[in-house]
Amino acid sequence: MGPFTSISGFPAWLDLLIAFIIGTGFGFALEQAGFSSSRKLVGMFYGYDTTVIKVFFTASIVALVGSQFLSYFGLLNLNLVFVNEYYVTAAIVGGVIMGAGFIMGGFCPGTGVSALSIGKIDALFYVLGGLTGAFLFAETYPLIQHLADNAYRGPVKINEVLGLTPGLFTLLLIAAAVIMFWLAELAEKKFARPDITNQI
Amino acid sequence: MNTRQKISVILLLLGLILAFLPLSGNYSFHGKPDKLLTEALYENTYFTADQVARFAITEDSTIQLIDLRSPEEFRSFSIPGAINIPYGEMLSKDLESFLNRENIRNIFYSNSDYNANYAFVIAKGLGFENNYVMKGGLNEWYRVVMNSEFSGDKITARENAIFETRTRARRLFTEMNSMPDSLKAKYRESKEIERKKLDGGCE
Amino acid sequence: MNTLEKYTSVIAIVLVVVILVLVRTLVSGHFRNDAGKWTGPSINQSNLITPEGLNKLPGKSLIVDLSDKGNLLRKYNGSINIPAKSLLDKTNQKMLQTYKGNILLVSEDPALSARLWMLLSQMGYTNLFILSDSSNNEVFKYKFRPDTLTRPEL
Repeated sequence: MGPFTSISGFPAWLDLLIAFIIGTGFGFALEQAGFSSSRKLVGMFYGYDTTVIKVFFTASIVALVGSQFLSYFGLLNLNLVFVNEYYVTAAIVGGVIMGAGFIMGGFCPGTGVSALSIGKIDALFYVLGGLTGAFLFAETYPLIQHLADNAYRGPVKINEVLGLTPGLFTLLLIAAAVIMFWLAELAEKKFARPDITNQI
Repeated sequence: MNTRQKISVILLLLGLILAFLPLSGNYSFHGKPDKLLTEALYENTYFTADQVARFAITEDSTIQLIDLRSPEEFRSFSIPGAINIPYGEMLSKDLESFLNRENIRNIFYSNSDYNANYAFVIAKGLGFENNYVMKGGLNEWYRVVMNSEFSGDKITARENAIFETRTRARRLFTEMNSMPDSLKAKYRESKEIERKKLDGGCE
Repeated sequence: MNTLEKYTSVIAIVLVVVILVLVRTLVSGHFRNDAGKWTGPSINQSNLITPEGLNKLPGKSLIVDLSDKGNLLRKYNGSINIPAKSLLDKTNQKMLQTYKGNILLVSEDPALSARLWMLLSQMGYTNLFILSDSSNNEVFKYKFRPDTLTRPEL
């Protein structure tokens, strides 16, 4: 099953089934955290509801801690885990587009799908818009190739750039996350919008 | 509130333990040494120079030859179809795109047996599959493919086949490596691997 | 008492993890971290020793014959035979780990010595060498003569 070497040699369909189950878990987690509500998602930007950052950062640090321990015990092969490749310009431009789309539409791609699954019509159009955008990107790729491939840095990791060991980086990230959550609680009190939060 | 505090404390303490562990961000061998030993002793991980000659002349696309020598040696001559990963830089490269390609068998070679077999164990130890070694390296290739002669009047069908392969490989090797540097560079570029572009999942 | 009860689950989880980590750290016989660190001697070829160079190695040396039947024992004085497939047996590992000196691997097949050198180095062995005759180093023994008159059939 991918980088888990102690349980490997599965037939391909079993790998896909495991992927399906993990995806189901992810969708379930998104929905029970309330991420099908665009008011809750956009609350991150206006400050009255900071659930998004809490959920995603908690997930990140739990995954980070878990994967590093599993690697230390020899159960997970971190050499085989995919590291995303870093194109500086593309990351910045894409981030801007996604941020604007997030506030305007009220969803991001994954939560758009989970909202669609509970029947929201605006989520349907959001997802269709997303697919159209991806299609247009692929069709016009020769024109924007220079922009998309600019400033390639390879699959870098933050701890490499900062010169820290992975363990130390994890500790700092956890500390930063805890501080951020505490600040998020303060922000919620300051930017509270009782009229909206009642309707979520 | 209470659960959240507990979880924060647990995570902080676990992070503290991690900070003291000798983890490394670089490549590390993975798995049990026993398993790697079995794989290292496995007979079927070698290809002879004749077999590699056959792959070279048929331009077998399921084979990727990897030349572990320095860039200067690679530029002066190499087996047609090979890519260059200098052995000294092997662990500082992104090996995923070279070694982890589906259905492609990688054959390492260097001048003799040492570097190729070091690279083999490294590739296996990091978890990559489908790796092999050309036994004897380029010294053996030269002895067998480039310099050998067949003597005697009668040769068997099998010897004839080997003779044919060696002659064609010899010609291919000489032609490809005698090209002027500019043409060589063009030929190599057209054979460059495209980096695997997987799109990372975003939520 | 109340504070202690509140934090039992926290302490329990962290304690379990600490014990697992200690067990893993103290048990030997698995690969070390950072593969690049242990491949150093192979890159500048300082792990290859010829029989003549054997005398110049400081400290005592142990020659390990990797063949199945000990074919090379006669060739080298004081050598021992550990067949390659039993190299990782507990008794052999204990003996090699506690040996205070240089360990030299030798075999009739240089490919085998190379592979086992890399494997053992990644388990943390330093002072590990390969005994080779000089004809086997990473040097190209022939001369390539380009034929400038040929034109490839492209």
